[in-house]
Amino acid sequence: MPTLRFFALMCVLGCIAFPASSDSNITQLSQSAKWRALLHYQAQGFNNVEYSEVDDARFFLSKAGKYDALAELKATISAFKEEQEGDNAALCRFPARLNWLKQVLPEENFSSIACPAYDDWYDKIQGDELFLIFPSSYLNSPSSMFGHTLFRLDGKQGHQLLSSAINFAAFTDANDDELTFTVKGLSGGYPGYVSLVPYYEKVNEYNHIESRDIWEYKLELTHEQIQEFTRHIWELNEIRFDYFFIDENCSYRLLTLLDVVNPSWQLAAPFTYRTVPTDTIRALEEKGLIGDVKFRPSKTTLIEQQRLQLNANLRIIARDLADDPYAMARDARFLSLDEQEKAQVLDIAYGYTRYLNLKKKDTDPTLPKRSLKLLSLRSKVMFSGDAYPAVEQPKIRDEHGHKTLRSTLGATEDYLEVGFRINYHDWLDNLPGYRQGAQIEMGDIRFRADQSHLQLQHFDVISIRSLGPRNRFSQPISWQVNGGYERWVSDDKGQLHIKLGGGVGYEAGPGNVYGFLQTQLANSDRYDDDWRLGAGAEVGYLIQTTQFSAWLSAQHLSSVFQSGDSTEYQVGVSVPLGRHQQIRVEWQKQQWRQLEQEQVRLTYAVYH
Amino acid sequence: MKKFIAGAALAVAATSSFASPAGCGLGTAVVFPDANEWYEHVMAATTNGSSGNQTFGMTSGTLGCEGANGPLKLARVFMDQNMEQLALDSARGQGESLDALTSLIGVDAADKAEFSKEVQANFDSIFVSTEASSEEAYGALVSVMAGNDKLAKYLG
Repeated sequence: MPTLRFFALMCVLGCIAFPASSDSNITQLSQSAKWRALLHYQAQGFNNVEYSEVDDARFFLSKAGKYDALAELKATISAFKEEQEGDNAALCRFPARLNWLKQVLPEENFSSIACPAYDDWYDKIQGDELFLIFPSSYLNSPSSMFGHTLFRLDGKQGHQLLSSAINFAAFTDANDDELTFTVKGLSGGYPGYVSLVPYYEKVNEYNHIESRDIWEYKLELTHEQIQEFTRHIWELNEIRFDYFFIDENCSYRLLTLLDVVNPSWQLAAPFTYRTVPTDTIRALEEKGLIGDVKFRPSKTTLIEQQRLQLNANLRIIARDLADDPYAMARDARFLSLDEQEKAQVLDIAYGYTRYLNLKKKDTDPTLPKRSLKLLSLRSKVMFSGDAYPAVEQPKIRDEHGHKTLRSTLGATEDYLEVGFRINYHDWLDNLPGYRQGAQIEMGDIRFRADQSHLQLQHFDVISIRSLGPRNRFSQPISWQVNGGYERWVSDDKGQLHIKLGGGVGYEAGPGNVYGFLQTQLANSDRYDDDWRLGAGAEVGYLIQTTQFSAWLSAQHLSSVFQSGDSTEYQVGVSVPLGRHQQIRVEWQKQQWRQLEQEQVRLTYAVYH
Repeated sequence: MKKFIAGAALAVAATSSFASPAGCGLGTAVVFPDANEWYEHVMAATTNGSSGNQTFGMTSGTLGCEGANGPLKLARVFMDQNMEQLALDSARGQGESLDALTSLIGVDAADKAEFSKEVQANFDSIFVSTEASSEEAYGALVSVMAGNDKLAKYLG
């Protein structure tokens, strides 16, 4: 009876690992989108090989698990059938895998064991509402301009400040120098972990200390989907992913977590090369996953809103209170105010003292004492309720701004131009969804062509401009950094350059006026000995509205080690054509010694 | 996130030690911590990174710190980590940090207004000075509650 013996042998082999499930079924399951999402498999590299983004042996039950989803599935099934107990058992460590395998392999009788640590944790944090939290950018901090994203799970904690914030972050090493930091950050040299902290820690960090507005997006998920999310988060407890600043960053990882909940969404796949938070929010919105949205204004936003509601007299009183609350507390100007006005001036005065401390790093030892005195005075004001109306939620959110890649087609009298920019936003780009006065561009490249030539006209490796108007309650420094290659507008010569500038800006009419002192180091065969160090100033005026933007500037640089001045004037006006397109007209006039060049350029831009 | 500039900032922060500001030095927090201490924290946050000694993992997630005790254990931890927000809300007699605190203490909805009124009226005794620790503020809060008929019952 060879046949029977053969079957018996099969059974002996099979019974050890997986008696009830057929091999082909297991193979099929190992290729399913759900299993691959659970293992964080993603097509990677130039040849698109699929393997896991998890960089931690403890996440895999098979030694080959990072690269072999089938081996990992077999190892998981057999581990689930082993006799074991305690929190370290596979059954306790991988509740999402277990839950799924129970559904797809109902014929298997996986054992049921007690998992006290998991059960206790699950009971504490489980909730019905999951939010995507997006602390948006703030002016004057380019590194914040891409924002950060995290989750909040509202459970039984009783207040959203006490809810769990689920955060994916790099654990950087404070002892690394700048270069090491950059290299490691880009190459995945820092470990990234999912962690849970109370939400108030995140609110304190972003809203109060960094003064970033926070957007809270309720995710339209079912109860079961949120349970599945929670189960999977547990599987990532202390599990290492290498953190890459540009692609495998916080926003990307959050999308892969949602893909586990429903693999058919395929949220992460389009973002394997570059992930910007606003793009990920757009992706969620396209899938219909975004529900109610709430806005949590930062300290700076609050102060600005409060300032706009005070008349000039109250502004002066508030500022005097901040400077000397002890004297002002006895001053008739303060004492004669009604109770609401008292509350108003004290609130903004307090906000201003904290701004000085946190943002301006003012170390005056009397400052915290003044803050406390202002609060003490406030506690004695007989006014209940908010002294100011609540800050209105901005009508246009960050993710409703133009997309971040830009392609342009331009024409001047002599040339046709094509351009492309990797990131992100300049002063004349469509304003809605972006901060006024904030420009950050990376990889902005433009070619020009006439009948006989195709030439690189302009390449900004980086160009940052930050213009924040100063007033009684806010004294930001405006500044710019710019580096790259640039060709003169109508001859062949070009220069490599790096430019730094700093100064101040003020509100003036519908826009802001600014002045920078600046210095530029440039290399070009136009200059004596090829090099030029220039020093001088730039003044300008910028209006940004939803209907149009306009920017006028004049810049003059004297040469430090040689003779020769350069002057440049430019005027630009842009008009959006819907959200993702615009037309702009720019006029430029450049002078170097006696040489003068001028150009008008018409550009069509599309954001994608 | 592309943190090219933050690298420079981190290098600055790296020259001094990284204590965990909102961590488990329970009871020592003051109402307005030194700006420079915050500065380091901010740098860590801006890079979306954290220094190695910060909590990671899951189990401590529900409320940052273990190790507090007393009748209002969780309230005590919360106070330590939210001194400034609580001072501000107490001065105004309302606010979400105060709401969160009352919910940790377990104050019934009916008594919340009384709680807010009391902390506002006793602001100067709870937030005595800029040097006073959260532990002292907590002690003062307990005394204020003990002296109020409606609130004493929550002290357990």
